[in-house]
Amino acid sequence: MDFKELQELDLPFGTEKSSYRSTSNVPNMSLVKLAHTCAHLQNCTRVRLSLTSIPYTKLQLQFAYNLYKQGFISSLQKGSTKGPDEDYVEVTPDNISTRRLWLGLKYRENKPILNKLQLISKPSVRIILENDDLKKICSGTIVRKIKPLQPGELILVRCGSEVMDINDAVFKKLGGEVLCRIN
Amino acid sequence: MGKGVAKYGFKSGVLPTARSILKSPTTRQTTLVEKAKQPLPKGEDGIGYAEGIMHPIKSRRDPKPVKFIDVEQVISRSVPEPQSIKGSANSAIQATKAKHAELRRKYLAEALRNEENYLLKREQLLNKRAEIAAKEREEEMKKIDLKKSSDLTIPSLEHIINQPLVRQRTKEETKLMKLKRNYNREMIAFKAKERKLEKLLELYYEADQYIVTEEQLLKNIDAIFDETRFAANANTFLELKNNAKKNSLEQKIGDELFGTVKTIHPGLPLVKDFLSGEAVHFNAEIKTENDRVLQEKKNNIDNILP
Repeated sequence: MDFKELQELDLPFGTEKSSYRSTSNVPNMSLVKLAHTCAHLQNCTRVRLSLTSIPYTKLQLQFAYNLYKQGFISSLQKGSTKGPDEDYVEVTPDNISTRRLWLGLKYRENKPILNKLQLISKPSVRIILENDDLKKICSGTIVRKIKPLQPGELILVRCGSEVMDINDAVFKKLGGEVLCRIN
Repeated sequence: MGKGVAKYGFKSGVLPTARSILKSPTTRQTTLVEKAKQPLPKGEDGIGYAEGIMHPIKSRRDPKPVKFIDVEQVISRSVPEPQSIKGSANSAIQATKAKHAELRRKYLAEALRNEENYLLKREQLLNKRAEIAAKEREEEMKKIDLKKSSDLTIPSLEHIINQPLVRQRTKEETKLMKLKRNYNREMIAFKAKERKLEKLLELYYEADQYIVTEEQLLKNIDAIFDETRFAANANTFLELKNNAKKNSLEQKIGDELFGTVKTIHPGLPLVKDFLSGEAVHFNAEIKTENDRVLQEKKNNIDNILP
């Protein structure tokens, strides 16, 4: 059989499973803690708290960092269960149980900046999308019942071990798990 | 999934995937052969069952070994050349039949060979595609990741975020921790043993008071029902109670101070001192000191100075 003929006969481009667009094989940890954090932050903004703490884990740190980067919170600090650290404290297995992340919440005209935080991918229904689908969400199409990105909204995507804004993921041509929607 | 053509994304005329002609991989598919030869991964992420772990009934302990076929062998087995032609083709029908059979053999052999070649070429092509895709990806990433030289010197927020969350214990610290835990465990066990010993000693002294003979019993009954007991000092019952409390407290303080049990029996500290030989040593020391003092006094009997 001729090579060209074979090319024509063969599968269309992209049907084979290559590692080109798939995310890395980092095991996905439970999203339950993130759901708790989202609910907690929502509760805090409703009672107009200025400072609150969330668990000290990698996912929470990345989540909080993205909120900070996008201007949804005013500060992000390491601390203990008693409050933010004044001096640098090294995190060791001896004090890890009391470590927390402290977030400063923002308000404008007595209205919270963080209004609603909701998980998209849930422990029961994981939503992992390719780059093309993420692009569709950004450009105003509903994909897997995920409503498109609105202005002033933030959708976080976990690409491998990194958590980033959906626009970043689209720019870097990465796919991943659509974690949560913040507005 | 929908019904009918919806199953195929509303595309009609989609044929089911063709069944492969070769049922097993061939020996010429070297990548597959090498893959099959590789040892199975072991450990946490490996496959199979650990030693001593039973596998479910009606299942294999080890995966079924992949069978590789040689296409030429398959051909020679399935369509061998006729060993003997019974008589030469006498009639035209026989000749045609023989010709047809020959053609069938030829076509089958050809199909099998072509299939193998097709699979090999397909693999090559897929590899090539993957390579091209990887290259494209690399180029794209190069365009996206425009690194500045300052990234190497100035720590960015991302850099801080990506650092490990916890500093793990060093080897020395782990060793120290283990020692500490061991010490605590042993200390608790030792203290429990000591408490037990103390209780045992108390029991031993208590045993003296136990009534084991008839005489002791009668004596005790008499003592308890003695009418003159309260008559001697006309204290009220309340005073008696207070006195008892005070006495027990005094007794406890005395026991703690001097290491005794009920102020008269030697307690655990005294017994321990005796067993370790410390008491003897202490007594000897006191004795020598006393002797020395007495001797001095004797020598200086006329001296009025202290």
